[in-house]
Order: sequence, then C-alpha cells, then structure tokens
Amino acid sequence: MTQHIDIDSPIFLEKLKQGDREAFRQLVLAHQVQVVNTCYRFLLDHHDAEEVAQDVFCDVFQSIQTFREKSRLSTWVYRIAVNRSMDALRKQGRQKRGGLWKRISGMDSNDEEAHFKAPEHHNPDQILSVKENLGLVQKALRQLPEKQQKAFVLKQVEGFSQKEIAGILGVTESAVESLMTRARQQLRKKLTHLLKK
Amino acid sequence: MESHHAEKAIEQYENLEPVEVSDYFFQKVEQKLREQRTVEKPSTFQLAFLSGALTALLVANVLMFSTVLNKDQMESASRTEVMETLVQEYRIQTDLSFSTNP
Repeated sequence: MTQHIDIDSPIFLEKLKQGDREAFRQLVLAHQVQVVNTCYRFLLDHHDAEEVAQDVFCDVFQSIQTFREKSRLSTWVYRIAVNRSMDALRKQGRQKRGGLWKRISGMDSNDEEAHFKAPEHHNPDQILSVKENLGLVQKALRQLPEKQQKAFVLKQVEGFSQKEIAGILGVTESAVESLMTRARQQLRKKLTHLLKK
Repeated sequence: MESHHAEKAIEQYENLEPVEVSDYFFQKVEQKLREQRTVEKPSTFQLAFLSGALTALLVANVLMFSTVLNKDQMESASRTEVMETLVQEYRIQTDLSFSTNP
C-alpha cells in the first residue's frame, strides 16, 4: 500500500534537513518525472535531461539547509531545475563554440537535436524534419531574454499552472502571461529570420 | 512561407511528448552524491598531512629569511671593520710622514 506523503509539510522538511534517506527518496520519486521533463524541454535531449535532473536532486540534498521556506519546497526544486538547465545550455553553447574541430570531424555526438523523443507514428523523414525544426526552435529560444525563455519553456511542461510558473520565476501571474505572449511573438520573429538565412 | 514554417516548428515544440524517467534514477542520484562526497571531502589524515607540510614550508621560509638577514648583518659589520682599519692605517701613515718631514 502506498502511503500518501505531503512533501510540503514541515515534518517532511525537517526529516529532509536531518538527512533522512527515505524522505529524500520520496522527494525524488514524487518529482523526478516533472524535473526530468522540465530539463528536457530546455535541453531537448533525454540523456542530458536525466543527467541534469540528477544534479538537481544532488543540489537539493546538499543545500536543503539553505532552503528558507519562503516558497513551497517543490517550487524551490523546480527553480533549481530551471537554473541548472540554463547553465547546461550555456555550457553547451561554449562547447559548441570551442568544438569546431569535433563538428568538422564528426566526433561530436552530443549535438542538440540528438536523443529527442519523436512521436511514434512518424516516419524517418518526418523525424528528421521535426529534429531540424526543434533544433531551430532551440536556437531561436536561446536568443530570447532569459525570463521570456524560462516562461515559454515552463508553459510547455505538463502539469505546471500559471501560479506555479510565477512562483518558480519569482514574478506575478500577470507578468507570466505577458512574458509568454512576448516570448511567442519574439520566437516566431527569430525563427522566421533563421529560416530566411 | 517562412512565417508558416516558423509557426509549424513552434507547434512541433509545443506538442513534444513527455519523456519517461529511466529505471534506477534514484540510485544514480545516490551514486552521484557518493562520488561528490568522496571528491569534496578529504580524509582527516590528508588534512593533517597537508597542514603539516604547510607548517614545514612556513618554518623553512622563516629560517631561510633569518639566515639571509644574519649573513647580511655580518657582512655589513665586517665592511665597517675594514674601513676602520684602513682609516687607522692612513692616519698612522700621515702621522709618520709628518714626523719624518723636516
């Protein structure tokens, strides 16, 4: 029988702060899908998303003492996931700039379009076209201001309400709405520009 | 044409299917934590050895500095002695020359 645990309760938090392994396991189990999918939406690579998600939980475990309880524990976890994903994207950008030889020689297997989950009904040509399009969307997304990027991506992750996104970004709900609208407009513009090139 | 393509690409991004979490995800998190602990935390022996080595280095530096300082002082002292001897000798010679001159 599965026991329902309120991970946002003070008792649970206290257990976590004391380094209780079982409490930590429950926290991971409760949030792993959402955290992995949040990272995946940023990185568009299943393998990288899992790696970053694991680092997110390591961060949570190591810095739980610094959690000030100004927001819900889950909000704090997703905020770490967003920041970790953005860091990974920046790192990828730096590696890409420095990895010219790898790309020329075809040694770079870690390209941004790899390991994405294609819809099952798609044929290989469709998958390739979707891969290309997703690569372009990611490139255009990176050109947006950071808050717009985060708002747009979080909107696409299943299960986040506008209120939760506002909590993660530390802005009001109306600000989230306006960030999303501007992000979509900007994204369309940037993409059109990229496609003309 | 491009704007239609752009819209299609955004829709494809929005309609991306969620991914599943691989087995043993929690075990991998635990493994990472263990690895970080071993990398980040040196043992008591390592810490003691490091602090001992640092102290030895510091003592060696202080000793070397004081030796150099002493040597310098000794050299400057001997230089003064030489000068004094020379002056004395000059004085004797001049005295002698005065006494020998008519």
